[in-house]
Amino acid sequence: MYGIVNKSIEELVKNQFGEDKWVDVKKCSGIDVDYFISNQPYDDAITYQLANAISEVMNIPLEKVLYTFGEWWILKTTTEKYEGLMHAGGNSLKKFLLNLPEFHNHIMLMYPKLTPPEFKVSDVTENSIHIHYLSKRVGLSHFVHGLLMGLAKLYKTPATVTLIESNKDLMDSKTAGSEINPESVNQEQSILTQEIFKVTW
Amino acid sequence: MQSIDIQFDTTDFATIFPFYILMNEDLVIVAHGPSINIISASPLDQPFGDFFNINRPSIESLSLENIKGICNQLIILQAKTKKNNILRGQFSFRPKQHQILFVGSAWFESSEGFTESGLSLFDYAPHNSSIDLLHLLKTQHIANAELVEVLSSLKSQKAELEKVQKELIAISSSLEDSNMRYEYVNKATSEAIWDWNMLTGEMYYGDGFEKLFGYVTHKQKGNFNTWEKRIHPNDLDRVMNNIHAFIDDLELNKWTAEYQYLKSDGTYAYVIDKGFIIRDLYGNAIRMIGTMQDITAQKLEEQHLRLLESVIVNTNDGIIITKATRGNPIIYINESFTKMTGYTFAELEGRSPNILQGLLTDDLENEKLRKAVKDYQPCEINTINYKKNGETFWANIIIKPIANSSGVYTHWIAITRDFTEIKSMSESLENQKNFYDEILNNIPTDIAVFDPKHNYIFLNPYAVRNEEIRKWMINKNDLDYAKMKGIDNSIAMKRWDYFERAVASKSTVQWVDEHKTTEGKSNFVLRNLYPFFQNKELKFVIGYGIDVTERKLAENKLIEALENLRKTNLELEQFAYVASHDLQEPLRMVTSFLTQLEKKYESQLDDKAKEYIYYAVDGAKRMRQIILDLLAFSRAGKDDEMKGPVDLNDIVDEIKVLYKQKISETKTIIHCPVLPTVSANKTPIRQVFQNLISNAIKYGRSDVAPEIDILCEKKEDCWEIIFKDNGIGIEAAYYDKIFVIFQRLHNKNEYEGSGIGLAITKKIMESMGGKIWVTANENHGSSFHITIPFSA
Repeated sequence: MYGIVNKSIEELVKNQFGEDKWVDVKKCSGIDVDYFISNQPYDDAITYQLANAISEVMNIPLEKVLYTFGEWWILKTTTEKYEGLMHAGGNSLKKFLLNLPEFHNHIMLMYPKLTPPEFKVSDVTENSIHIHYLSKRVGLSHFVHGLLMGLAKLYKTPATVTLIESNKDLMDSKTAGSEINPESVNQEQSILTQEIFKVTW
Repeated sequence: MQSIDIQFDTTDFATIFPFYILMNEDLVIVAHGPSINIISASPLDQPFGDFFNINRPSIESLSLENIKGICNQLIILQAKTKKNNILRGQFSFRPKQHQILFVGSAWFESSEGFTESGLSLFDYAPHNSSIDLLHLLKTQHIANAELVEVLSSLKSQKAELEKVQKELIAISSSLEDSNMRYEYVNKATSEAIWDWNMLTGEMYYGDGFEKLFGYVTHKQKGNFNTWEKRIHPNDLDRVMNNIHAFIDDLELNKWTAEYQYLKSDGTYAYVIDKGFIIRDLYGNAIRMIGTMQDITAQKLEEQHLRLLESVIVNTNDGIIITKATRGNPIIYINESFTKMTGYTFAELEGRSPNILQGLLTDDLENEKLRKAVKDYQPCEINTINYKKNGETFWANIIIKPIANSSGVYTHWIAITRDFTEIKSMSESLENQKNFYDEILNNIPTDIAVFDPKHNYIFLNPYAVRNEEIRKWMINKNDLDYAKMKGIDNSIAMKRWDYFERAVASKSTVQWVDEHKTTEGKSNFVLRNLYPFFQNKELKFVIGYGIDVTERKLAENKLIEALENLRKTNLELEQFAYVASHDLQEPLRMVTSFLTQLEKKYESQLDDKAKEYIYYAVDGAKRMRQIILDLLAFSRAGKDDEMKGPVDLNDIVDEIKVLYKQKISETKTIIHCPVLPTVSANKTPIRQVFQNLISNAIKYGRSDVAPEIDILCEKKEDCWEIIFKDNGIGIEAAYYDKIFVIFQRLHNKNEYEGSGIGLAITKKIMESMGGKIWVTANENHGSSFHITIPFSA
């Protein structure tokens, strides 16, 4: 993942729990990187190690960590750093969600070393939409959930997000468990993880 | 020129070029893309010039011709209604339609401008990369900002490092000072300094290790194991447990231990080892520095003092220490003194030792003591002292003044020994000695004790009556005596010979000395020399002589009597032989003529007469048998025959043949093992076997056939042969009687025989050095035992 993700996690921890805790989390994760540079790619394992370390140090379930990070990513990181661009994605939640697949195609170009997830939309109604999340990464279901809720908050649209379908048992077991194995997540899955979230507002 | 014909409808064209502007030859906008409405007020059907400026390239005036002149160049337009909005693109002249087409897109130099414009990503055609580039630019900006931040952080770190470096230099300079100081200390101190790097196990050994323990360490480097190996095995576990417990306890940092440490010369030094531990932020022990001090001398002194103290405390002598001031107040008494006198320290503290004196205390001795105290002289007295309960005891008191380091007498030490018991014991010993002396002096026996070299160390008055000579004799020998007396030394030589024999054999040697008295009578003295050994070493030899003159005379008389008896016996035996031999002849005549009488006058003799003749003949026959037996008895034991090997199996076989008829008549069974061959005279042995076997058959029970078991056992120096029968047996009361000549237990009508057989058997056995006796069997019958010596 690009450094921006890890940097965002760093900021989340510093912001929510304080600078000291970030030192503890880094020590616990065992990673040896002093600074994350946003446009530099880093090993995916680092991100997972950080997530696991937060869970361990703060004694918070990993699912909660990922969910919180999802919200944080939208509300703080992208909004503050790419404010204009985020708004360029649409001026309402619905519009943004409809444009989400296209949006990620652009991101793919901008970040060639990234394997960004792909989104599809279906079942569009007046007040709901199905978001299909396809990724080669596993265990990020709660992160996506947090992202979607973050978007709802960004557009000040009260909404509910429910996972209505998941094609990967592996992923379920991963998210149900308390830890993601950085080794296994590093090996990209040949089968795409597909999950369908229903966003209702 | 090749042409491609692409047909667009307006919507299609607008999707691909959302920012297009189409104007006619009058430069009036006839159509435009949907995104134009966002960057400008709607310009449709309005002159182009009213809504847009051409910023670049510059043209003299806005005209069709001028615009045609800048076709296919980069054109930058500015919206007049929203001046911040810039379009970048190009003009294209469409000759057929006489129209000018502008294609391009809104241009922003920053994402902020884009946001302000109100445009969205989707107002651009997907093929247009402007926004993505903008995004990239933004990302770059962010990264740059981060790098600036990192740089600033690095800068402040650098400043921090410089500060630390300065501090380090200061520290290192002060460290150098400390090192120098340490080096001086290391050289000056009498302690061994060590420094243990606990992460590497390396250990620095200071100069003291060479000075104190003799170890020359290469560059003073070693490791922890070197130290561990030198700890005395008795202390090792304790010290190791102690240091590890200390290291593990994060609260502790000062360590001390006492133990024995091996020196290079192989001896052990007592050391006190003190260490200080240095821990990292997490409390982990990383380094330990300490010093070792050689306390062997103190330790030894301590042990010595402790020993002295324990002597004072534990000795059986009572010890008092007083001050050397007026009245000599007591400041210490030991436990033995309390035991001896009954006084506790509390009772005596500060008091004068005079308390122990009383009426019976010897005034003279006391005076001696007082004088010694006055003159500060050591003194020893024996006197009666008083215990707390009033009892007296004999006290041997030694006093000695004690001086301080300046030579001033400050204290007295008094050692009191209760020798009451010793006194009474020595008295009783004295009595005992007198008693023994009395005995030794008055016993009518010569007693002398020699040292191993045959010199006298003791002589009693009976041995040498003259006291002077007796005393002279000590440490001298018999030869010296003979020489002194000027007499023949043959007796002395003889005694010396016996002395050496006694020593060599380590046993008592006896002999009889004959002394002629002046009257020419003989005196006999039985002399004994008894060597006394202790731990296999000859200590002394005790000699004593008993006057056996009377015994000797009695003995001589006895020998004489015995000789007479032997002669008489011999005569008697000869008489018995002759008598029995000569008696046979008249007997044979009696028998013969009675037989003749019976034969010749048979017809004239009535039955009564015949019966009388029968009894007369029978009596004569028995008398003949008795005479024959007597003859045999008198001969028994006479060595007419040479001794030789006798196979006892042959003897038994011969007897079986001899008694064949009787054995078959009585159905006697004889069990006999393989018997040994013995060294003896054959005839008497056969006689013995014959008597015992025939008795066993003869004295059988009427209801069972006789059964004889002959058994043989090898004893230490003889064979024991047992003849076990199942006969009528013998009452224990008769066990001795049966071996006496002519003793019969039964009526001769019941069992025939003269009653001489067992007497002969006994005589034979005894003459060959053997024995015979009888025992009862468990069920029936008797067992006759004989022993035949191996060297009969």
